[in-house]
Amino acid sequence: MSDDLLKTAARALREESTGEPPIGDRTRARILHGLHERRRKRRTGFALGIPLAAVFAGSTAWAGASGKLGRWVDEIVAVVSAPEEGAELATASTASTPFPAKSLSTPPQASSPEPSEAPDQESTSVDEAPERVVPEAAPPEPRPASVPVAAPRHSDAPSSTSTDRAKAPVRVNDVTPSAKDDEVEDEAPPELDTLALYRKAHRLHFDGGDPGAAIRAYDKYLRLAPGGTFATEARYNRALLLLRLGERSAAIAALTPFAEGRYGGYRQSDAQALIDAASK
Amino acid sequence: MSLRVPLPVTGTRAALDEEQLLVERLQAGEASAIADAYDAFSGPVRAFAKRLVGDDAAAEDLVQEVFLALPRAVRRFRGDSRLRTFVISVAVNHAKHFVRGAARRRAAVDRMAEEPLESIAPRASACPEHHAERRQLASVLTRALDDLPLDQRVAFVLCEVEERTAREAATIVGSPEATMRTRVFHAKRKLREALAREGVR
Repeated sequence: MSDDLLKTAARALREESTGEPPIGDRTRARILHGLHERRRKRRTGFALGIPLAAVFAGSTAWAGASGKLGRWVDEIVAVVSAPEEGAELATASTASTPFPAKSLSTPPQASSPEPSEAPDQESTSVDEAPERVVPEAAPPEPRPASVPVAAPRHSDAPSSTSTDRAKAPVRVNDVTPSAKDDEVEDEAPPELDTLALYRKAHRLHFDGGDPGAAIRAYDKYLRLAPGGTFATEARYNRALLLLRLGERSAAIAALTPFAEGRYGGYRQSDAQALIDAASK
Repeated sequence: MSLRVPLPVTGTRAALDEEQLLVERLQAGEASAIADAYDAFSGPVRAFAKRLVGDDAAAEDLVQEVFLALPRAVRRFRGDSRLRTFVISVAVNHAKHFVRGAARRRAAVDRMAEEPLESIAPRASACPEHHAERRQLASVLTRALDDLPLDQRVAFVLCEVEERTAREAATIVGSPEATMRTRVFHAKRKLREALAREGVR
């Protein structure tokens, strides 16, 4: 085939494709509409995104200024980094809920105000409103007081000696420093270390086999972080340990706020059952 | 075929300034600039799209896509060519799936055709018949173009159908001039063979 024919064909193709089609105006309108839609979506994205970013930045700044940022970071780190403790807790028969679930949970509110000081010295008084309630059902500690009475937590005796222990009124108002702690150092750790204190107390409670040391550790945590993330759990676990040690009156005093629902229903029925059993 | 490479045609100073202003407006994201660009360049872009794609509807879609993509694409315009050339290059970059789609449709139509294409040869005749023959020849060539690789197809359409210089075509495509000539050479060879198979003498 000669080149001329190919050129003729090319010319034919050129001529056939020349000229503005009738739909040219429609194409123009579609293009402008498409660009307009694209701009509108971009503006909407900015209108939503910028306020959200501002709220986030403002919240973070406020948290930093008020000192809560460290605690929030601490809680998040605890959730992320403590799966093994969650496993421990899952197997434990007694109270406190696992670490990870607790740290980010929000308290069901607050029909329960801050528990008041009971007239009885043995009653539990707490310094602040229950910060968090995680209503979880768990079997109560099966056998209270199968252990001889141990030394009071707040006594000066370093070890719990059952024979020495009078049933002294137990002040579980945790502002009083506990006796010298073999296992928990008495210092004022920074905020992030309070979580470590709780973890230590928890380990002593479930793995340590030393209820007295565990109580002292809980006391330490509650003294340094009365409104801490796990303060409620610490109080409940402490009450169980008192029960285990045979400190019935102290245990009942410690369990009463829970039974009365002052912690938003957390362990309420369990606490009541334990009080009924201990009162017999 | 030897491709003569004339010097690129430059516009007047006023036209260049006007084009530069349009570029700046496009790069600034002015909505009216796109409308002005469409009014200025849709004709050449549409013509190129039709010749390249061979399908009016697909060509119109390609035109739409080119001007929708132009606000972003114009950011990389460096002024080393005319804006019209740049817009055609955007069309080349976006043409791939339109060409393939149109070729597939034509292939499907051909499979359903009851009669093979008849041999056509342009001859001097009365106008309507001449137009019909021209259309038929254009259609045959479009089908033959479907068998070419895209780069050869683009090269043939730019250089042979639109009669652009190899330099301009190379600028549009972003390839060296020698490469463009090579592609045109191979495209023409294959098209001759294809047209011969179709019975065009």
